[in-house]
Amino acid sequence: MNFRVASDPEYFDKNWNILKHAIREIFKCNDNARHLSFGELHRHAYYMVLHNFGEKLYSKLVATMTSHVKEIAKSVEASEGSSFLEELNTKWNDYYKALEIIRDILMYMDRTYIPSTKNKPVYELGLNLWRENVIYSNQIRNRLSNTLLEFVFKERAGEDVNRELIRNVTKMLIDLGPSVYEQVFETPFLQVLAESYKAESHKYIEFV
Amino acid sequence: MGDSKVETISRLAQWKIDNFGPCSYKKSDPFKLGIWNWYLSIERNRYLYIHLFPEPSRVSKEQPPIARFILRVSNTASSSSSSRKFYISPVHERVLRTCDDFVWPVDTTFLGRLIIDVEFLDLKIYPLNGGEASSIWPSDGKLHSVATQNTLRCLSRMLDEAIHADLTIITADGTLKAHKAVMSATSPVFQASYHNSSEDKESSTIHIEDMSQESCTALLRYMYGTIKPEDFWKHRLALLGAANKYDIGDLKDACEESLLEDLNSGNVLERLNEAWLYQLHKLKKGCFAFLFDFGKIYDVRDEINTFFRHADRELMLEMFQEVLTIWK
Repeated sequence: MNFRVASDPEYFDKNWNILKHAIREIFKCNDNARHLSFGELHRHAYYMVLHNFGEKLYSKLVATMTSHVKEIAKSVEASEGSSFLEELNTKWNDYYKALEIIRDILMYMDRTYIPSTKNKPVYELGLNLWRENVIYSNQIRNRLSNTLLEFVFKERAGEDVNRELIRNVTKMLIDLGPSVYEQVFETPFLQVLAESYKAESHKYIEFV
Repeated sequence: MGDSKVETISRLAQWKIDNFGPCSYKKSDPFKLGIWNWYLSIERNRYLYIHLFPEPSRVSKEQPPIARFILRVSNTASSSSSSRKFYISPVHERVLRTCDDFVWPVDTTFLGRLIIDVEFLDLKIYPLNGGEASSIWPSDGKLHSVATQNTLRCLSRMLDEAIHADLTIITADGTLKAHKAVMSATSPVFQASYHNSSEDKESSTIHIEDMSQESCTALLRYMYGTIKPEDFWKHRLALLGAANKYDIGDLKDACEESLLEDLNSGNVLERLNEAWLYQLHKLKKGCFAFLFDFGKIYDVRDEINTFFRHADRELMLEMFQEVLTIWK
């Protein structure tokens, strides 16, 4: 009788190493990821979950993704002056693309393991990690708010700014949840706006 | 004699009477419309009475028509064609069994040529085994089934003759040709697989090496809607695995139902294991009932020891709880 229980003690580690390597390549978003076969990766993930390694797989995934997101945060933090927003935007686009692929590869885990736990599905997990480690990083959060406001006021003053970039970054904030958009952009924006009108109105009053 | 013939076309029956003559009653020849033979008859009294009824027979007794129809009588006086007169009945709808069920009096005296039209708008019958009355004429449902059959024939040809096939499947023991579009439409996993592959040669090959060519053919036939019951039966364990892996819900359900149908002492432990592996709740309950409620666990005493050595702990816990519930 075939009980299909993976009795090989190294079964998980072997298969996880293949997946981990693939996830890293996918995150790099380079052509190396192209040669990876989706079908093969899906099969590895499927059998791991089928053989009761769902929990282990999930925790390994969280660790791998977290360390990757932290690396991204570092490189965004290190970006110089005006390239900050562009760096953030490029990294986000790559990350989002990779997240979709990883979610698809781990589809079976999302479908069968996740519902029986309190854990977040892959896509949500990815967004949460990005929010906590990148957007809410001490060196990024305020800098992001300020840079966005700077852009907006430059534009209001008639200067030529990259609107596409602003649009993409604000869309990212909305994708991360309405509260993120509110905290990082909307609230400070309204505050600054109110102050600037106040100052302007004072000027008029003094002038009169 | 020619005067009693009724011509029919489509849903219209027409009785032309060139000359009514001195008689006061006339009955038409039978005419076929739908599944019945019909008669028209005219009685001339103070009015002209027109009857419409089906020929008394087994069909009209068991399944009398529920007819919706309009009658039209037109009269051309022989002297001039300009004095043409029409009488049109309202739409009638009723069950017609005998010649008394429908009579339409026309308040006139006719001379010369008489034309009686019966236009059937619908003919319904009650099914013999009870239920709602339904039309005897082909309706959307029929068209639908014709279209479905045609589609299945096309899909079957697409698979068998590999018409415009854009995918090679490598199984454990051979290759098969199929269509990305069909497979994507049945399984979200295949859809994601083609979505995430780049547009090159690699994306036109997939590996399903955990299935034999024969089982994989059965899977494809299921996806293309042309699987035969005997192939389903033969490959259902492999199909169950594939349905679970590729997220094809209705195939998984069908396999579960089928595995419940032939539980016996020889396969119950294996089935229980499948049920546990693929989270088949109904099958699991069925195996529990077979083993504990029906006491078949005593038939598999030898196998159960091996089973307990390998089975998942959680599964054993559930089995134990099941036994406790029965003891209560």
